Amino acid sequence: MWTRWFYALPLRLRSLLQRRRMDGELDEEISFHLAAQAACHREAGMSEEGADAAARRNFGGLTQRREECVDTRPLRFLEEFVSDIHFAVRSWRRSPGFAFVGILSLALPIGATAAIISALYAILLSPLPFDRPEELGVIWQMKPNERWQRFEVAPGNFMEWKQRSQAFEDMAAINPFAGVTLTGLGEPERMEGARVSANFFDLLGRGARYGRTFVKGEDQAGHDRVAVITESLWRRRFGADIRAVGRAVSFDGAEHTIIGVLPADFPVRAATPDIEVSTRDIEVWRPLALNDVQRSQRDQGMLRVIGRLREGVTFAAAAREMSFISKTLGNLYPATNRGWEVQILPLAEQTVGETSQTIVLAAGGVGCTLLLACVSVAGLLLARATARMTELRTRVALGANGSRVVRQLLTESVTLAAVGGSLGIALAYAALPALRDLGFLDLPRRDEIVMRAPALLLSILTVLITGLVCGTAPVIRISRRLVASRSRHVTGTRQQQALGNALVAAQVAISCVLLVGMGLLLRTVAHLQAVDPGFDPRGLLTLQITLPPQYYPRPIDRVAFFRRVHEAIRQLPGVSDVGSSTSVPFMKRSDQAVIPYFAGSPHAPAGVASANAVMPSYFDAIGIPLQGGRLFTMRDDRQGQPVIIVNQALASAAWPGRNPIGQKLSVDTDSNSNRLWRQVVGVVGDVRPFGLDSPEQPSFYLPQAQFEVGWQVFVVRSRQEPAAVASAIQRAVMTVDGRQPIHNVATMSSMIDRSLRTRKAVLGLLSVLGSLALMVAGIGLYGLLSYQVQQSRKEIGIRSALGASPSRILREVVERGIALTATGVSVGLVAAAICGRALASLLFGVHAVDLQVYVICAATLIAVGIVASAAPSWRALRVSAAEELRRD
Amino acid sequence: MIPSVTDIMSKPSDLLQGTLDLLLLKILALEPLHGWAISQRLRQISSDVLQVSDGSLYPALHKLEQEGWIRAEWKTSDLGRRAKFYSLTPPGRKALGREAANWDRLSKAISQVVQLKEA
Repeated sequence: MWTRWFYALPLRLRSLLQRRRMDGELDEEISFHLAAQAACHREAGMSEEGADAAARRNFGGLTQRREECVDTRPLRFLEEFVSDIHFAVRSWRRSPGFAFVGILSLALPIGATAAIISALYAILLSPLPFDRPEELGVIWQMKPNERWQRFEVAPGNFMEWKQRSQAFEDMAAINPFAGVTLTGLGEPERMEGARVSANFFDLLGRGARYGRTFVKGEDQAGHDRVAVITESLWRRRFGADIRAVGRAVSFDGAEHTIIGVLPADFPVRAATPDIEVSTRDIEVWRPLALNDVQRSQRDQGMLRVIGRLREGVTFAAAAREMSFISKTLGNLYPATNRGWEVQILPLAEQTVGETSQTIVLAAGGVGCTLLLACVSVAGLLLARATARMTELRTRVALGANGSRVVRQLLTESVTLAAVGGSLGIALAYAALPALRDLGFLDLPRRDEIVMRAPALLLSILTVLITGLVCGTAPVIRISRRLVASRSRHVTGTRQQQALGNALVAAQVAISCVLLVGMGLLLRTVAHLQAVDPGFDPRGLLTLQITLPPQYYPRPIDRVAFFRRVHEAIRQLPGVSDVGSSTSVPFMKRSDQAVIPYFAGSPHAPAGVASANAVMPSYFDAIGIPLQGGRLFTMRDDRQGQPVIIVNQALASAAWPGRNPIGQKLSVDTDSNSNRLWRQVVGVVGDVRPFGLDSPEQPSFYLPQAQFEVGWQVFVVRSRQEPAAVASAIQRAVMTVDGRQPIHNVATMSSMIDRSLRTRKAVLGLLSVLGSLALMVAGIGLYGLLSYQVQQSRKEIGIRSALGASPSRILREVVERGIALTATGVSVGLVAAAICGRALASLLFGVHAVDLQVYVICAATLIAVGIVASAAPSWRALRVSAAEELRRD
Repeated sequence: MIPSVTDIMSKPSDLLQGTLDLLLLKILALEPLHGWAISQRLRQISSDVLQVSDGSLYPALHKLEQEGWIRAEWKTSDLGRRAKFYSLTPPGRKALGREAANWDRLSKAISQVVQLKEA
C-alpha cells in the first residue's frame, strides 16, 4: 500500500521544485492531444481549420482543464500564496500611498513599543545576568539611631561576617572608588576603577572572556599587582589585541599585569550597587589588598559587600543571622561595633530602586501605542478592502473562486504585516541605542538594555494579531456580500463608512490622551526646574567623611581634623570653594535629621526643624545667601558664646514679624541636661532639602566647633570633572589622615536630577509616544479622506460639471476632516481627564485638568487635521468632471 | 473510488471521477498509452457508450500520477512527436485488482435489485 509513495514522492518534489518545467510538459501533452485529434479529423476529410476547431471543441474548456491539472499538484496552496504576494506588491506599486501609510503605521508603533518594552524588561524584569541572581544580596552596615540609613562596610567587619555567616555561602567586597591613571601606553588616561576581593567574579558567576579573573591569594598585599580590564578599555587602549593579556602596564605609577579581559556584556552597573558619581563605567578591576591593620579595622566603612545565600536559605533567615552576628560583634568589640545593625537588600531590588511608578506609566504609554497601532491597521485594511470591491466583483464574475479571492485579500494583509513588521524590527533595533544613551534618564542597568526577542515578539504579535483580526473581519463580511450580491453600489455601505470614521476618530483620541500627558509633565518639569533650590548647585560635588570615635576621642581633635581637611581640599587645583555640614539638600530624606526646637518656653517645643552642624565656610561654598546678621567664624567655638543661625522659615515660624537676630533658641542640652539657649546671630535663605517639589523647611545651623559631630558632608565647588576631583580629594584626605576614605560621593546636579528622574523618564516616554501617535493619527486621517475623495470622484465630477465652485468642494473635504478631528479630540480630552489621575502624583504646579495644556493639545491636533485634509482636498479639486462621467 | 448507487443511476453516459479512475487503470494495465490513445481506446472498447470528454481525462490522469498509481515517460509516438506515455505501477496494479473486485460485487448486487420482478 505504501509503496506507491516510491513513485508519488519524487513526482511531488518535482512539482514543487520544477514548476515551470511541469507547466511546459503539461502544455506539450495537451498540444499533442489536440494535434492527434486534429490529424484524426483531417483524415476523416475536414479542412485544416475545421479539424483544429473540432479538436478543441472535443477537448472541452481548455483553460479550465489545464487549471484542473495544475490543481492536482500538491502544495498548490503554497504556490498560490506566493503569487498572491507578488500580486499584492504589484498593486502597492500602483497605489504607493496605501503601502506607505500602511507600512509606517505598523512599523513605527512596533518599533517604539518593542524598544520600550525591551528597556523596561532589562531594567525591571530580567534577572540579573549573574549566576543564580536570586541568591545575591547587598549587605550594608546600618546605625538606626543616627538616622543614616546605610553605611559602607568596614573591612574588619567584612572579614568577620564572611567567616561567621552560615546563611551566606560566600561574600565578596568591592570598593568602587579606586580610579587609576594609566601611563606608559601613550597618552595617560584617568579611568574609573574598583578594587574587589579575589572571589568577587567567582561569586557573581561571571568569568573573563580572555585570560582569567582573580584567584585566591591575589588580594594579599604583595600579590595584588594584577588587573582585569573591561572589553571597552581593551578595545580602546589595547587595540583588541589578545596579547594584552599578560602585558604589564602602569596604573597610578605602579606596574600591574593584565590577567584578563571581561566580556562585552559584563553588567558593570549591576555589579557596582548604588553608584552615583559618574556616568562612565568602571573599567579597571584590581584586587582588594588589605594590610593587617585594615583587615582588623572595624569602624570606617569603605566597602560594598555582595553575598550569595546558601542554597535553601531565605533573605529573612539571613537577615536574622546577620543581626545576631552584628550583635555578637558589638559585644566583642564594643568600641567600634556597638549599636550597629546590618541591612540586606536583594541585589535586584538594589539595582532597580524606586521605579515602580514609572513602570505603571510606561506600561500605560505602551498600551496606548499598541492600541493606536491596532486601530490604524484595522482602519487601513478596511479602507483597502472597500476600495477594491469593484475589482473583486469583476474577478468573481470572470469565474474566480470566491474563497480564493478572499484568500488573496488576506494574503495582502499578511504581506503588509510582514513588511511593516520587519521595518518595525529594524526601527526597534535603531531606537534602542538612542533610548539607552538618553543621558538625562540615567537608567539603572543601562548597559544591559538590548533588544529582547520576547519584547519584539510581543509587540509584533499584538499589533499583527489584533490589527489583522480587526481588519479582516470586515473584509470577510464584505467578500461574502461581494460574492452573493449583485449590487452595483461601490462606495461601501454607510456602516463601513461609519466604521472608518470611528477608527480615525479613535486614533485622534488616543493621540490626544498621550499629548495631554506629555504637556502636563512638560509643564511640571519646567516648573520644577524653575524652582529656586535656595543655593547654587552648579559644579558642586558632595562627599562624606565619617570619623570613627576612637580615632579622635576629643571633640576638639575632630574639629581640627575637619579644618585640616578643608585646607587640604581648598588647595587642590580647580577647587574654588569648600564647605561642610552634617547634611546637605537633596540627600536622601532619611539621612537628614529633624529635631524639635524650643523658642520661648523650655517645656514645650515650638516646632521641628532640620538640624545641621556646619563649618563656617559652608554657606558661601554652597551658595545659601545671608539675609541678616552674620555667618559663623573661627571664634564661634567652645570658648565662645553658644550661637545658632536660622533660616527664614524658622524665623517666621518662631518669631513672626520680629527680628530673629538676638533671639534665643534651644535645640540641645548642656552638660547638666538643662536646655542650652543659643543666640541667633544670623538669618540665611531657605532651601528645599527634600526635593524641588517639597516646601521650604525650617532649618537651623550650629557651628561644628560647638557641636562636634564625627561626620561631615563636604560640598566642593569645582569646574573640573567630578570623578577626577573626587579622586584628588581622596588623596588629599589621605595626606591628612591615611586611614580616612571618602564615601557617598555624588554631584549635586545628579542628586537634583535624581529627584526629577521619574518625571523626566515618564516625560521622555510620553513625548516619544505622543509624537508617534500624532504622526499616525495624521497619516490615518489623510488616508481616510483620500480614500473617501477617491470613492466619491464621480459625485464630485458631476457637481463640478454642474457648476459647483472649487472652493466649496475644498471646504467640504476640510470640514469633514476637522469634524472628525474635533470628535476625536473631544473624546480624547474626556479620556485624558479620566486618565489624568494616574499622573496626578507626578504633577507639580499643574492641575491634572490644566486648561492651557488642554487647549494647546486640542489646537495642535486640529491643526494636524487641517494639514492632513489639505492634500485630499486638493485632489478633490483636480478631479476632472468629464473623465469621471466617462468612467464607470 | 466506488461511486454511490445514486450516482450511477443519475448519469448514465457522464462518468464520475471514481469510476473513471478504475477505467483508466484497467486500460493502462493492458499496455502503456498516451492520453489521446487512452481516450480513443475508451471509445473503442465501450463502443462509444462511454464518452469521456477529453478534457476531464487529463486531470484524472495527473491525479493518478500524483498518487503514485501510474507513472509517465516521454517517448516518441507514431505521430513523430514525443508524447507522455502512462503505465501502471506495481502498487497501481494491486489497487486495480482491489477496486475491480469491489466494482464486481457492487454491480452484481445492483443487478439483482434492478432485476426484481415488479409485484
